[in-house]
Amino acid sequence: MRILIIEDQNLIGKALQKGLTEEGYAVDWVTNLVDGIHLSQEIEYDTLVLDLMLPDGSGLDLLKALRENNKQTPVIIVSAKDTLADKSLGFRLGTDDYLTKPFDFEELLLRIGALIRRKYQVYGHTLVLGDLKLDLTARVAKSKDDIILLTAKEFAVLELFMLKRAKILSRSKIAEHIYSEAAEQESNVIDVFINRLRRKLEKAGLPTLIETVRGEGYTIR
Amino acid sequence: MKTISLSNRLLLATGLIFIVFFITSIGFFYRGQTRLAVQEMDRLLENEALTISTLVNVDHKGKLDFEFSRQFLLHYQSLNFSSFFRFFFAENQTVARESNAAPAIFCDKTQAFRFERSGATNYRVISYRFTPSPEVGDDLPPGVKAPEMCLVIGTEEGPYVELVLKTIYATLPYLLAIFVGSLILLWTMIRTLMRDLNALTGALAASDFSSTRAFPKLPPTDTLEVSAVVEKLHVLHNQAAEVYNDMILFIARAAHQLKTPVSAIHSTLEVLVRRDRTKEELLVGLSDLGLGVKQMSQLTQKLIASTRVAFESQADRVPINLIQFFETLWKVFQYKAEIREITCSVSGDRHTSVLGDEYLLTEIFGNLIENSILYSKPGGLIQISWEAHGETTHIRVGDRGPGISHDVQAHIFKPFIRGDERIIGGSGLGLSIAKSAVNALSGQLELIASSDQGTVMQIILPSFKK
Repeated sequence: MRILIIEDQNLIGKALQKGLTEEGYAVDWVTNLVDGIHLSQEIEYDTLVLDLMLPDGSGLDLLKALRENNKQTPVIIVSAKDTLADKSLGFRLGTDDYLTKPFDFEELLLRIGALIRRKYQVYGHTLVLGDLKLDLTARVAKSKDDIILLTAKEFAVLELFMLKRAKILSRSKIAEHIYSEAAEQESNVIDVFINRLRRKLEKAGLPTLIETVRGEGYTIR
Repeated sequence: MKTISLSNRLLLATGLIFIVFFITSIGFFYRGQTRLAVQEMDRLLENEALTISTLVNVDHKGKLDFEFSRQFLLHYQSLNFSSFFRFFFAENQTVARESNAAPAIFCDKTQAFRFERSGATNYRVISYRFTPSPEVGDDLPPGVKAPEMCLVIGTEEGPYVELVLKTIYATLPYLLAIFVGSLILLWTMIRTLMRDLNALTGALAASDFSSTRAFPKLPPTDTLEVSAVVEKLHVLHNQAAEVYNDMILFIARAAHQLKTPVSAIHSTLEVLVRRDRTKEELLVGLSDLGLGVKQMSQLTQKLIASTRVAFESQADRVPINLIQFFETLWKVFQYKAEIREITCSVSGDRHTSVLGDEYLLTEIFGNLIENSILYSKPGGLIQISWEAHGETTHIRVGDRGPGISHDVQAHIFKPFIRGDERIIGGSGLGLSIAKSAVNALSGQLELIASSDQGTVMQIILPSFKK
């Protein structure tokens, strides 16, 4: 899952990037409107975390531009502006959620989770495929009732496969969802990553879950 | 009516009432007196069973107006008055002729309607001019001219005082009616005059200033004083509302500004404690927290300074030598400036001193220099100069920063307004603090030039003269 943070305050941006990355999200962070507009149009993010008061304009302009271009990317505004009028304007311009500063990081995580589930039309917080169960809120994977120990990124990839079931995910698509713009990747990093995930699933008694589609990528059927 | 003041209206009303009361009373008094005199005369004449003629009128001076009968005129010389009615023919102040038993009272035409006493009898002396009609004149005996005559009426009745008292008794109901009428009139007028004031008081009493910030709708008024009060109330309310709004805005903005570092500290701390951390991770986290705390502390200091300068207006004014002041002040900023290779030039008469307060001056120039450093490009120059102009000293602080945009210039001294939002680090309070501090010293602070070549601020402070 890939998230874009548009936040001009260094400390907040840094904390959010670190916290979300540790939860398995691929996180890009920009500190101004221009970069934010550019990235949000270029890359398909799963959620935008948007501050309103940016040095070169209002975050609402980004929101407007996004919706005018028919981009359905979920947006959560995180702002110090806390009046009903501010929130009302935000929702009218197409935000999906609004969180006022100062906020609890845990709450932001839950709200981002909810936005992503809505984006992939998952109602409820558990995805099930045979013996595999993914609890999207607790971010835990289980085989029958045994917990499968996965890293945050491994969980994120498994989550992506489950959300886009039966669809072939290219290596670049997978990379886009787990690595931010800043991360450097080697050419076979996704293959290595998928192999490690397969081994963990095999150990948990789910040997043939991830299939390779030659020349295209991977899928879960 | 707007141009007549309430006091003048009351004065006018009272004067008017008194004039009306006075004139009416006098009028009634004389009218009553005349009527009484006529009645008296009629009574006496009736008692004496003498028909001289018809008494037509007695004016207030006591002049009688008779229509003498032709018969009387024919015989007036031979009339033998047995009572007190006597005619004196007065010519050249001598008695031309008198009737028998006439009391020795002479008529004085200049004193009408007076009482005299002869023996035990009161006499009323009434003079009148008698001019017979032509046909009467024809009947006068030869050698007798139409005389000026005195009518003397003798009576046992009371003297003039009694007549006056009677008059007063007779006119008292009228006077009372006039008095009560005047009171009602006065009361009505005062009520009318006070109507605006009462309406205003009522409207103000019914207004709840705490529940609404809008000025209550007051009734329309046409009284000069009440209009002035309403107008002044409006002005005062607007001023109070402005101060109140500024205060609320300041608090809201201050709270808003504080949210940013609070938020940063909150998020950093939450992310930090979500997992087990290595020592290095902890150190980085703590350092971030420290930055957040520093931001908050700087903002808090500015907020405190904002409040403090407002209370320093009573500060003692002491002479402060400018060159010494700036040399000391620059040391505070030297480190920050050197990092960005910004230099400072100070020029002005070494002996110039201003009258001020050390703390306020530090707030003024500290904030200006801090802004200059913040907005200057690396390698920039800050120029401080001054010139004494008699009672005042003009001090200029200039930098070579990007200037202040035209839109912002008008609001630059309001709290939480930044010249350039892209500059991170300013609290947006510096110039508003400087302005308050300058005001507290009865000085002036103005932006005298701003372009992409830089900004120059001018501060005018009272000079110190030895």
